[in-house]
Amino acid sequence: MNKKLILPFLLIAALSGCKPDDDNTPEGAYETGVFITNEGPFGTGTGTVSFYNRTSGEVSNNIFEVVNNRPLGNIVNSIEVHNEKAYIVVNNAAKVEVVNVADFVSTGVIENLGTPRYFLGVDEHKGYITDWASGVKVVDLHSNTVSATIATGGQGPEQMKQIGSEVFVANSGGYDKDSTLVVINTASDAVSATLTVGHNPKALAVDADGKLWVLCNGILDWVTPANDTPGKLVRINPTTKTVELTLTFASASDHPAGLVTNEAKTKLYYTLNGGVYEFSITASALPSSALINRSFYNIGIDPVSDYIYGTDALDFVQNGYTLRYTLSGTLVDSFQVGVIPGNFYFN
Amino acid sequence: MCIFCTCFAFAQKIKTDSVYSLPEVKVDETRLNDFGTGLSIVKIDRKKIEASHLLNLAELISENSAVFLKTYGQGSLATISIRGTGPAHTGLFWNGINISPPNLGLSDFALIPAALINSAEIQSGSSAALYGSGVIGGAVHLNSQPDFKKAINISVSGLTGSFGLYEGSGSGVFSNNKWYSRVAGYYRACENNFSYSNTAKFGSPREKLVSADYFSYGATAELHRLFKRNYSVALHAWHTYTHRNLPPSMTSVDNNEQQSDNAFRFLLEAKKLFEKSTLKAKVAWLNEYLRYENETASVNEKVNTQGIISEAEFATQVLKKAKLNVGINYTYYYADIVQYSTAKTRNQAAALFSFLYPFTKINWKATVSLRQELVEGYAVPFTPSLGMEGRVWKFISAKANLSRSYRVPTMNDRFWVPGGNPDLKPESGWNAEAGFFTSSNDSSRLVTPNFSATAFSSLIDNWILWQPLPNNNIIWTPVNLQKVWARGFESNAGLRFKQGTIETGINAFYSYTRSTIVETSDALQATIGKQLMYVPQHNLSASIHFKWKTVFFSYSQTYTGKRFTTSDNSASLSGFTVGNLLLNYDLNLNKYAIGFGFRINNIWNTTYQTLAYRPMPGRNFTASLNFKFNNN
Repeated sequence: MNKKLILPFLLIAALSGCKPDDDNTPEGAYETGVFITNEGPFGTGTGTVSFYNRTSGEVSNNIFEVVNNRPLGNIVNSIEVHNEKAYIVVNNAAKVEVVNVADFVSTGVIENLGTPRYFLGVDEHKGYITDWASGVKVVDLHSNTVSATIATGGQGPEQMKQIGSEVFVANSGGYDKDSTLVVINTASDAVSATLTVGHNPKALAVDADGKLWVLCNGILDWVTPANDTPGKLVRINPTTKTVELTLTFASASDHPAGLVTNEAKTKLYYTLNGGVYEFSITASALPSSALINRSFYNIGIDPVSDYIYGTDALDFVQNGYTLRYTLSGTLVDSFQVGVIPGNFYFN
Repeated sequence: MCIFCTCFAFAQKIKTDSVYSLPEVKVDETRLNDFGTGLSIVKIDRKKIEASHLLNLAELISENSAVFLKTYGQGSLATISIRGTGPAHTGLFWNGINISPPNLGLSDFALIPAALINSAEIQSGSSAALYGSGVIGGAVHLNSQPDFKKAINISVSGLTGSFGLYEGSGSGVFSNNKWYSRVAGYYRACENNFSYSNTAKFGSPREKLVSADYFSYGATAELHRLFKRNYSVALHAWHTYTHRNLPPSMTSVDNNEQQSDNAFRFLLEAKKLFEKSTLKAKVAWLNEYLRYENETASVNEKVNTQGIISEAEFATQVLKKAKLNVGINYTYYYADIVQYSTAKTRNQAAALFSFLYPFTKINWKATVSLRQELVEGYAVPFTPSLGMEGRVWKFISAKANLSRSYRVPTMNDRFWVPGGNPDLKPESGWNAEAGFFTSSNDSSRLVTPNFSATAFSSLIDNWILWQPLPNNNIIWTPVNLQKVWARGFESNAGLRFKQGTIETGINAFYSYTRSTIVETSDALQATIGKQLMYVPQHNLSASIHFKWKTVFFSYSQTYTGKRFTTSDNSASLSGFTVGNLLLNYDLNLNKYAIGFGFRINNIWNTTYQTLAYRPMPGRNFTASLNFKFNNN
């Protein structure tokens, strides 16, 4: 081929030569700080993990790819730190990536999952992963392999909370609907009890009194709104496995999400209809007005600063933001993270 | 038989010779060719389609223009972006009938098999005043070309290629001075299990693409009859069926997704020619049935859409030299989709008017077109256009076009549950373009230079995008979110040498496109001034060909510039170059001909993606054998 013809190709190729647009270099210290998972573009694309350094206020984005030279995979749903390792659940890649929390260097990957959602470190040898496709996967943390599957007898196992030798798993409904919470005995890896709560329980929190709170999303029937049911906030006594209190939201179109507690665990926070609500664990009725009037994709609370972290995914195809608020609802600051920021881990 | 002829045709109007002559009524006239004054059109005819051994319309357009197609992979969903607009901004027309399904308002160009197409015209820029909603970035027209002469032409082809590709196709033309009929059919299957370097994994291991196999078949038939007293009637039928497994991206796992697309199209046309005028009427019935399954998410969806499109047009010569066209259109759409809760319909009607005036003394012509569409539930803007073209110096001509454009929200935009928004306004735009082109088409010359350049600018307001509801991150709704300014230029230059039985030529296209957001919501201010996602700023393609008797060789190389994958331009895909080589040899034996074809695609084995984390095949081959019988 004619050299003169090739030349413009080379010129243009050189001018627009490009790479993932990341200036962040690993600082080797992700030991303490806040991890934010970014789901990444739907359909095609990769999720990322951002790191916020509380001391310097610096944000490092896409730290997994920067350190390990490869993307995490499609839809990064959550991250959990356990035994100096971070477990990053990559939903649509059906895997959990394992890294050293200090430097984020990859140390393994847990594969052969279906639709994984959350990781929970049970002890130094064992972890649980909720998997919409099959129940709860029991993982050998030394070999990073699945050793057993616990059927939860319900749809869409989602968040987990460990209380003593038991793990409570919310059957969120998944692609269908459900209203059960199952209790797994961590010694036998078997379901020991099933409790009925409200429709589609998704988020769990444990308060200062050791009580388990379950936030039920309610039924959201897109095609037939007449089938909608309101969300519920349910308090459970984890010892007796009984429902002590059920608070039902006012309207069938009320579908609360994202249950978290303050550092003292005396107050619960959740999102509903474009606001963040605060609920005292001693209250007997749901609050009627919001603490923060802003819509967040998800919220978290940093136990170190007692700040509320809210994520804004904007149009879901650009880098989103994390905003920080005091517990009284005053905006502190905000910083840019990755595409569709969805979950936190406060280390 | 050279595919590069298209390159030379790029700058030229289809009927270059008619530019300066009196308008006349022709059997194969189209509104675009007669009244698309000042527009840019690339034509790909049947000969070029056959000689290129390409599989579908997406590949044909990619190879014959500087238009970008966003494809999920070989044979997979391919959507078009002309002049910096979105996939719903280019209309797909079959004999003048818009066949984009009403639920999506956009077409998958991989579903139109090359084996069934008679000719394709790629028109860049708005022709909304001629063709209505959704023709903002451009239009692709598939037309039949009946020729009433005594002939029997039969063609049978077999094609095989890398990754388990097989295609068998055939066509037959039977015609005389009263009848013209053409039938064509094909069957294609492809394993599509190419290996690629998975750059999303540690060490970029070689992996084989899984669940990407597909098969497809279809047939088309047309029958034309000329009656006494200049009446004519034509019936067209089209059926295609495609079943595709949908492969995972490089960053996800196989979700056992599959999709089948089933399309039926029928068109009945009647025409009466008077001495100086033509009356035409047509009615079409379109049906698309789509089925999508996703085992992981337990999704099993069926989409059934139908359209009845009827049109009447009267064209006549007025004021001695001028030509007038008036027409009406009535369209009925029906969509049965589970998310609509009940089946929904839409009625729309349009009145159209075009007036062409040739200034014969100075070799110029001008066309004014007006269209008013009425759509149930929407206030559609009045749509005018003004086009001009003519000779400026020797063989150099100039052209210009100014037009309004619009796009009515799709039925999904309106009826989808949840989120469907009945309060949407139609998108509305203004488009301007101007350029130069060479109009010499003298094939007897030793050297034929060829050049064209067009600058364009479009402002599109009320651009519809689906966004999460303000207080709810689960339910999405379409909103008239942004105003977009798309501008740039397209150019084409070539040289052809011809002496005796030897012909050779070089040609290059280049397009520069800036398509940026100028207004959007308060929350999305970070996207202001940013290039639209998946709109490459630079597109370049260069080719060289050589022909000696019936041996044909060509090599082409394309460069596709960087494309942003986020709306704030924070992430992008690198630009890439791909080279393709084509070799054809024809053995002519009186009425019979045997053709051998060989293609090497991606000859330099480039690793590239047109869509993030969707692998594309490396170097691959196709070989074809064609048998023809011609009795003219």
